[in-house]
Amino acid sequence: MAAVRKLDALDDVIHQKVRLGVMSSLMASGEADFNFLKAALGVSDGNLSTHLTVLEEHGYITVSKQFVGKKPRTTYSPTPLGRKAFESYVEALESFVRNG
Amino acid sequence: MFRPQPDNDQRPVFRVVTSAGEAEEHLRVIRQAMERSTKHSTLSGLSGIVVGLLALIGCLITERVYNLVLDAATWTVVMLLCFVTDFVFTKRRARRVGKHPRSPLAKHLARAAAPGFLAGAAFTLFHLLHPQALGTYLYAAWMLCYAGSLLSVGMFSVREVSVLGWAFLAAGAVTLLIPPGYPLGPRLMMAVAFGGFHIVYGAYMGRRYGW
Repeated sequence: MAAVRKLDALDDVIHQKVRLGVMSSLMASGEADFNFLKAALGVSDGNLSTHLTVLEEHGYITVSKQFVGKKPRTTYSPTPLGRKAFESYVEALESFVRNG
Repeated sequence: MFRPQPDNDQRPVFRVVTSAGEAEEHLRVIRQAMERSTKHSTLSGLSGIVVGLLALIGCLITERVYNLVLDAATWTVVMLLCFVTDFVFTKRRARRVGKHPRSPLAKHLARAAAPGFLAGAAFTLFHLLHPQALGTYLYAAWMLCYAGSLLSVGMFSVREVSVLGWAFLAAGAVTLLIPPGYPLGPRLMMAVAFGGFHIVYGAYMGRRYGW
């Protein structure tokens, strides 16, 4: 059981990092589509879509779907709530590094 | 037995850090993701090369034009062609790297570039009213204005753009300081800067980030 918990904890960190990466990427670019995020973060399709769903469910990002010719294109952008959450998270990290 | 983590609402979206080392690691993740998102840029190497070639054609044409107003008009047409070229290639490249050409980042870049181009336009207007005042030293003014635009854009973009900006700044200064009648005149500097610099920049960008 201890080994399982350890694995879970490890997995948790990686997952959170992907979400952090997604938010950082979207904050920098303003908006991006799925393939762009995949290339920028170097993660798999399934992994990325799971985290995008979590971020969307939390209201941190908005998803817009449109057709370019016949191809569907999904773009993601941060919501004001997501921007605020990201900024306060970065602030927290900075103060942690300063005081830690 | 390993179960995937349920991502329910009770858990924080970002992990709460517990050590300074972890905080630093997270800041690194952020920095890297942000850099990669702006550096996978829509700047097109091919566009640089074509713009450079257009500038060289412009030099060949204006070499035969001795009317200073007509000269400036020719360059204005060349510049408009360069804008169209860059727009088309950027659109193509944006599609390739999965970015929208009119993304907020692109708008930032356009806003950063605008003052330099407006200053250049002001010099050109002045030139049309007083063609003899600047003569072909108008070219130096263009280089300096363009350098301003590039250096502003460089703040939000890859380092190569800033390097190109500094190169134009140097070329503009050199062009101003060249004594009249010297073989390397403003016209040749125009070919070197707007032609040569763009081609070198385009080739480098294409090789480094893709065409």
